[in-house]
Amino acid sequence: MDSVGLVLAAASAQLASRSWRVISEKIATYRGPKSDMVVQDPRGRTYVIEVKLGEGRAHFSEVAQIESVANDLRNGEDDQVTPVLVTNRQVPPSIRGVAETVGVQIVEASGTERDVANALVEHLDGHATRR
Amino acid sequence: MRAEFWVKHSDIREDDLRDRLRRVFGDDDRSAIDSSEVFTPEWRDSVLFAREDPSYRLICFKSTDIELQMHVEPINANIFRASESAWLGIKKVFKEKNPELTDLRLVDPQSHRDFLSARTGLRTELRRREVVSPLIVAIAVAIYSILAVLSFAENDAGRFLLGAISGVIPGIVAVVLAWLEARKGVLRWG
Repeated sequence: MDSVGLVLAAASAQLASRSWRVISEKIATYRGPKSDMVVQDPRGRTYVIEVKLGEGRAHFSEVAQIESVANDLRNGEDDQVTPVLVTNRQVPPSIRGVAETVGVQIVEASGTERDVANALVEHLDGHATRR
Repeated sequence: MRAEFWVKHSDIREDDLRDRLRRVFGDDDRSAIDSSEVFTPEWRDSVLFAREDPSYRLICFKSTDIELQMHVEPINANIFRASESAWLGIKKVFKEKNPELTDLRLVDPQSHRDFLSARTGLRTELRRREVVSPLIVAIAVAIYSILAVLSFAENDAGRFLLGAISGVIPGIVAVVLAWLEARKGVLRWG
């Protein structure tokens, strides 16, 4: 299993134990691109997750890509699907700013795959509680 | 399929950069974003420059004062041709601003994973097998010649070195050609 797979496996296990529903770790939407993972919080709100691990800086395209997958998954304007990009790459303020504008949440994490998974779960838990 | 570029350059003002992009690639045309496979129209105001020609769609972002990020989607060209053309254009844009390709990755549209990357520069050229082989031979011949001249060929050093030179020349030629390719900024995939 590659690094992304390890992050997804660790995150799915933790989320499942908190009554989240892991719909797919690699879902294919009807119209095209896939995301790494789609999950639903206990209240039924959907999150589309994309994990990008590596060196250097994040790229604007990565933000656009997860936003586009979230749009594809929405069934109408009322359907809330939150795109989340998880990365251990450096995220410049310019990318963070655009992500905010288009509604993509960025989780910056470092360390092992487990640390990245923990950061993701913590973020999702916090977000679900706040809303 | 798409290519993601990270290009480092000397500090340059945003309007100057946009102007240079316009001079090389043509007018900024944000409608190119509407037909993108990845970007939605919501991005129209966030990009620095966008343009579509028959070969590829180019979308540029200023990520920091010294880094430009580019997104290239091929239309009527293959991804390699499109990437090379975009890179040649960007080199013209930053002519005297020391453009450096920090990274270039090709991304698979289904898995969203990058599957191939490209590099430029002298270090990349010198690591190529076509350059490494003659270079190693040339270094070995040079070392052997020095040892020979200091020992058994001491009395006939000139003739020995003239004979040995044929082993060194291919290495020198390989390095010169590598330097020329690096100056041209040729993309090396791998």
